[in-house]
Amino acid sequence: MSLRPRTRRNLFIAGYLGPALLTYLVFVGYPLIQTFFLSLYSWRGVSENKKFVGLRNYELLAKDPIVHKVAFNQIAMMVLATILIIGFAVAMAHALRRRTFVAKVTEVLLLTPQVLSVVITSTVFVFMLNPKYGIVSNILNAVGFKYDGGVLGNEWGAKIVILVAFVWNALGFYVLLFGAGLKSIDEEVLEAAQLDGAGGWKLFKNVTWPLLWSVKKVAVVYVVSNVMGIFALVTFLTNGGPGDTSNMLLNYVQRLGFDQTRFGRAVALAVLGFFFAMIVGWISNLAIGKDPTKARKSAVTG
Amino acid sequence: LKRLNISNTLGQFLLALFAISVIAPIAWVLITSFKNNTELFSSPWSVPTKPKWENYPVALETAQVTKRLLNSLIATVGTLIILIPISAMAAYVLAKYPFKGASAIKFLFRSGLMFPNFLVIIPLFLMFTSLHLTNTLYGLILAYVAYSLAFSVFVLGGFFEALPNELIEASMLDGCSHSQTFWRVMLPLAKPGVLVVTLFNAIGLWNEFPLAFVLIPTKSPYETVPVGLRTMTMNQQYTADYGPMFAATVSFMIPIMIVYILFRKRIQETMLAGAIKG
Repeated sequence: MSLRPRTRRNLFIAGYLGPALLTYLVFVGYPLIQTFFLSLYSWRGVSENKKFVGLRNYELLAKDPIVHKVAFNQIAMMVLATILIIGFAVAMAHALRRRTFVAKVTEVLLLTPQVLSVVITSTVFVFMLNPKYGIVSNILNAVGFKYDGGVLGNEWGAKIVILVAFVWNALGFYVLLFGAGLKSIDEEVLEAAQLDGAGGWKLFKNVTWPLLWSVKKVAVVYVVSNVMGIFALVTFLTNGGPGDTSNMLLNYVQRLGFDQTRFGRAVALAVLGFFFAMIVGWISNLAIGKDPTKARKSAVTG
Repeated sequence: LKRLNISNTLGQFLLALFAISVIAPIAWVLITSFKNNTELFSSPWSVPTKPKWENYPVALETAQVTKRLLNSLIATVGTLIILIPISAMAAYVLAKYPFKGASAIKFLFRSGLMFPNFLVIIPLFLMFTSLHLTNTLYGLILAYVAYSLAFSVFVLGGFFEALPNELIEASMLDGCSHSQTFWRVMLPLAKPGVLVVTLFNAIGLWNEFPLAFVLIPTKSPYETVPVGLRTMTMNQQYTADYGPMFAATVSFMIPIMIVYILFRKRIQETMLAGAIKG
């Protein structure tokens, strides 16, 4: 083989990048582009007769009361899950630093819900909430919460269970994340603050919390994108019910597309989902604000 | 000092609450899997006087436990065998061989991380239908490879970028070709990254639900564990005998629990590494 080194290098690049890039472009890139075009058509089933309808799918979605419910659930879930997860994770990460027996046991169990996956944990939740034999519904009945068709058959019961299950499934990972964040805070900084008389809540509020900035940023971005990706959780727990009150974005895309074979409208909802994800990502970036440590550093030099 | 104690106690209480919330449901499902209907309804918390072992053979039969576990195993391992080499190759080229358009390709892979892949499910489903790839395990594997690429290329890229370029130059001077340099020198050095990506994907793929749910129709012989569980919970209202349903759930839990117990430390590190790099 007497190829020039330059040719060899190019062949190597093409040959090694090719398989991954081609697979990616054909099975991810192409459907992504198609999504935008198909949202302008109307067709039922897998038939080839697609009718161009312009923005009609979007108009129908704008008038669809279920879309409004889905949007409400999506936004409420993002806000509440972010607050609950970060709050609990910071508290638990702090508590884990004391090496008690409880802390050691909890550390072992942290990722169990996530590794078992929402698929299994939601199945267990459904069993526990079964109105006939579930232990949790037994307890709820004893305390006086009695619903026909169980907790999951009640609009707010279903919503709360989905929120709790989501937070509980994800929590362990964020505890680890904030644990790593706490570890990275310089001991000297904390000692200096303590010498200045800061302690307990004050120390946390003025020193620890601002210094966790980069971890908080990762956490918010993750929670928000995890909420956008909720699918199995709702499919298993409520399937969107009762009466679509607990439905979420991807579940409604699936419902419109595969259960009702309104593919055009389902694809249009997916397109709205893309824009929604982008806007939410942008807002959450704004909400976290600038790096406070950076501001301080520049203040010192400036 | 007193205030500090209160917050400490509260923190430990919170940890205990979490630990119980993990252990209690698993314990309940395990206990119930040995019960008959009467015991289930009369005393949900008691340990059965005479464990009903028959629930397990019945579950293996009715819930097709073995078949579904095998399907999940084939889908997971099959995906990893293709995914890991091709994503490592691509990540290596993108990290170490600058060329015109490389940054655009990097951007393409990166943007795949930013949206839930289920949003493109309908065009993907139509494409798979016309290619006769639905209701097959190799079709599912193909989809899994494609939708795991963005993450894998991105994370592996980080590991390759951290390796010094001098290693490539030295290896080439020793007479190695580009390929030999990759397989014999660079890939072994990126082993920690390969482990992170393999473990992260293995757990994610084993538990994958949305793609399998759409690409494998219900009652298909190719149902994976997550799709099988969905079929089972959907049918639970028509079930007369609950014990086997719990036994099936326990059977589906066991393999992943073993993996978790064996590799817990590694999994925790992997999740963090995947998060911070991703």
